[in-house]
Amino acid sequence: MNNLRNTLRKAAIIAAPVVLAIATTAPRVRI
Amino acid sequence: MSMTSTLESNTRRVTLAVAVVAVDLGTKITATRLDHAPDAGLITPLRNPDYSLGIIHAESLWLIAGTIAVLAVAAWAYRRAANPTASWWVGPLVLGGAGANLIDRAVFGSVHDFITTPWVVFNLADVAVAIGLIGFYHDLHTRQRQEGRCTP
Repeated sequence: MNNLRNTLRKAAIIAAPVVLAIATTAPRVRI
Repeated sequence: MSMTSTLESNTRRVTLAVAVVAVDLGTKITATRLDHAPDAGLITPLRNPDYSLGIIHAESLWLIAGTIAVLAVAAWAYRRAANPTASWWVGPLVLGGAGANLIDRAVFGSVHDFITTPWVVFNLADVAVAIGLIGFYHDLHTRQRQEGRCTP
């Protein structure tokens, strides 16, 4: 149970900045 | 930490965040004016009404609300984690960059981009957020290495 919690915590810590980057930056793909 | 040094470090953080907002908005205004030049080289002023790379498309008001919600949760989690090896400039760079794009979207309904690469067009606020997040991962790595050394 603790292992699962630790894995989820680590996954959240790594994924959170990606979500933050998507929501706060606005680069635009060149057409 | 003494009260004076806490005040000094908070002043330093606020100064950096405000500087990021000012420089970003200043360069966006300048780049928009350069649009009329016949050859602006690496500068192509464009506007992005969506989130990063068009990943999420919605009404500007929803995107603004989403950014504020994500920032609030991130700030809460970052303070709660209280990483002692954290670099002081990580928070101000992310907050300043995010704030500058948020102001842009709130005022104009979309974000101004102008720095041109063959694949994407971006702005200085995007660069500030990216550097801040690289700093975050670096701090995380440093902390994990130190904790690994401490535990037998």
